[in-house]
Amino acid sequence: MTLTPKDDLRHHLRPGPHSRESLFYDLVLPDEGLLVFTYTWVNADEQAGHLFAVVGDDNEKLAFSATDGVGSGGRDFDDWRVPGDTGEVWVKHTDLLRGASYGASAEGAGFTAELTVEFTGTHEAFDYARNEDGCPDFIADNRFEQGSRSRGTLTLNGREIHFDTTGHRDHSWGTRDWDAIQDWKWISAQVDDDLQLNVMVLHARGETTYHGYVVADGELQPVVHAKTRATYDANWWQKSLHMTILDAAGRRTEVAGDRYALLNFQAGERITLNEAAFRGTINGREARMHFENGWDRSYSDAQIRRLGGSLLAGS
Amino acid sequence: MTSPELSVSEPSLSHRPTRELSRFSPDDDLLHDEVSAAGPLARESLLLTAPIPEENLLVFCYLWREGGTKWGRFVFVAGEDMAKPLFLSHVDDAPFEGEDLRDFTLAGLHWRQPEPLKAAEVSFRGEGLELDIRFDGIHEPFSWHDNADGCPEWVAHERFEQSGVTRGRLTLNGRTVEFTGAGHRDHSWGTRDWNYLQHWKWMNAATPDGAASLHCMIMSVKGETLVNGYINTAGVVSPIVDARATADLDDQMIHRGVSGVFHDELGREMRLEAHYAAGWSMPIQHLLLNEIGMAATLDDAPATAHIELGWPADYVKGLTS
Repeated sequence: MTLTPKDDLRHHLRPGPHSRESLFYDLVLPDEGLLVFTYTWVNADEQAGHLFAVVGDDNEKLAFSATDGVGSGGRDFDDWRVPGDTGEVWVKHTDLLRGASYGASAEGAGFTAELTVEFTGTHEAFDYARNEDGCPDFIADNRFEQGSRSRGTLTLNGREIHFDTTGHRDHSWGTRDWDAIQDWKWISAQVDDDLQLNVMVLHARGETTYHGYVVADGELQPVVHAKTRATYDANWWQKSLHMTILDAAGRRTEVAGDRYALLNFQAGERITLNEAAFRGTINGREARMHFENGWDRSYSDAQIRRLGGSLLAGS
Repeated sequence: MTSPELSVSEPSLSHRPTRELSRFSPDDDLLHDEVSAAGPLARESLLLTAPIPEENLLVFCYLWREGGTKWGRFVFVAGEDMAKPLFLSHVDDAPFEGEDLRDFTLAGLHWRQPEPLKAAEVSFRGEGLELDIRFDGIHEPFSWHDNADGCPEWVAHERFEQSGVTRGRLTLNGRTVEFTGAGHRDHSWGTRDWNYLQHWKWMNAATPDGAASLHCMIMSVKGETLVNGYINTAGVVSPIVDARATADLDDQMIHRGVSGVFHDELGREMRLEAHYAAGWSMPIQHLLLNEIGMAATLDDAPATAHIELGWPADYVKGLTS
C-alpha cells in the first residue's frame, strides 16, 4: 500500500464497534515542562470526539477538554472541527501529507488554554504497512506517522508561549480492537529536523511486532526491531527509557530519556494509557520525545498494588 | 529401569563453547532452604513432563514448597480434550515424607533422584492411575543465569532446565501404555511472583535418541521481551541469544501449532515445528496455562515437544467468549 495525498483526508469506515479514524498531534515543550496533547477521532456513525490536554508531571492537568459523540457535520480533515462543552479541537489538512494547521482550546475551573500550530512535515509520511510486520488489522487498516517543524503559540492562563520546535503526528483508520492488545509502547523523538524517529512495539495474542521508522543522515528507514528497557514509578508510570532500534539498513539507534510530564487516561474498559514527555538523547544528542505506554488495566493495577502506588492516581 | 543408550555425537572444534557455563553441584538437586524457605512468595519447585504424542497423551508432574513448610503437588495425564484431562490429582497441602528431595513422597507421588543432576524416577499410585517414569538427562542442567537476560529475581534465585529421555509405563482406566521418548524437567528455588508475566512461551523439545534438544522460554514482562534457554546439538549446549516463535491459535486460544527459529551464542540455528497431540488448559491463580504435548521436528528430525503458553485468563476470556 502506498500512501496518496487523499490518505491525509477521511477514509470510508466499515461499520462496527471498533471502527474509527483518528488524528494525533504531538507537542513536547521541555523548557516549559509541558506536554501538549491534541487528539481527535470519528467513527463509522459520524460521531466525533476530542481530547486536548496541557499537562505537567504526575498527571497534573493544567488545561483539559474531552468530548465524544459529537456529530461530524459531514466535515473532512481539510476543515475539521470538534466542539465540546469544555473546549474545541480543529484541524486543517491543506497541504496533503506535507503540512497542516491545527489548534485547540480548553476552559474550565481555574484555567484557560488556546493553541495554534503550523505543522510542516520534515520527511515523507511513513505508513506502518511499509514495516516488515505490516500494520496489524486489530490496530488499523493503515496508519501513518510523520515528524515536523511545529511553530505556534500556546496561551495558558493568559501567558503566551511561542514555540518553533520539532513535533509529530499520526493518522490511522480502520479497526482499533482494544481487546486484542496486551500492551504497547509508542515513541516519537526528535533531535532536530534531520534526526527523528517513531517506534511502536505492539504486543497482542502473545506476539510482539515492531513498527515505525528512523530518519538519520538524510535517509528514512523502516524499523525492524527494538529492544526496550523502561523503569516505572509506584503508579506504574514510565520514568525512564533505554531503547536500541535496528532499522532495515542495519543502523542501530540508541534512545535514552527521563520523564518530565505525564497524562493518564482510560481507553475503553480494559486499557489505560500513560502519555509521557521525556527529555533525553538520540545517539547521544539532546532530544525531546513522547513515550506512550498502553496497558491492560488488570496488569498495571497489579503492578501498582505490588509497588504500593495509588490506583486512584490516574484520571 | 535402566538408562537408555544415548546417541551423542562428538562435538566439533568449531562448536566448542566460547565460555564455561554454570555448573551445579549434587546438592542443587536438593532443597535450598537459604533462599526458598522464608520470605514473601518463597518457593521451590520440581517439574517433570513426559509427552507421548504417538499415544495422544501428556504426563505432567509438578510439586512445590511454599514458605518453607507448605507442600503441594499435582499429577495429570492429558488426552486430546483440552477442557478436561484424562486424569488429574491435585493436592494443595500435601504431607511430605522422606529425605530432602533425594527420595520423598507427597500424597502418593513418589519422587527419587538416584543420580544427582542426571536422573529422576517418579511413581504415582492412586485414584485409578498407576504411573512409573524414569527420566535421564541428556546434558548437564542449564542455568537461566547463563542467558543475557538472566534469571529475574521474581522468577527465582536460580532455575535449571534439562532435556532428557523418558521411559515409563502408565495404566489408566484399564489402558496400559509403555513408552520411551523425550521429556524435560526443571528445578527452581527462590521467589516466584506470577504478577509480572503478561504472556510466555515455554518450549521444550528433544529427539528421542537425545542427539538434539531445545529449551526456550520467551516471556513478555512489563511490555518487554525476555529470552532464556539453550540449544543442545552435536554434544554441545549453548545459550540462546535470539528466539522467534509464533503460535497457530485456534478460536479458544489453544496453540495447535508452533513454529520457531532460535540462535545460540555459537551462531548455530535450530528450527522447531510442533503440532498438537494432547493437552490441558490449566488454571492457576489469574493465569491460564495451556500445557500441550506435541509431535515435533528439530531441524527436520522427528522430536517430541512440550510447549506451554501462559495467558492472563481474563484476556483469553475476552477474546473467546
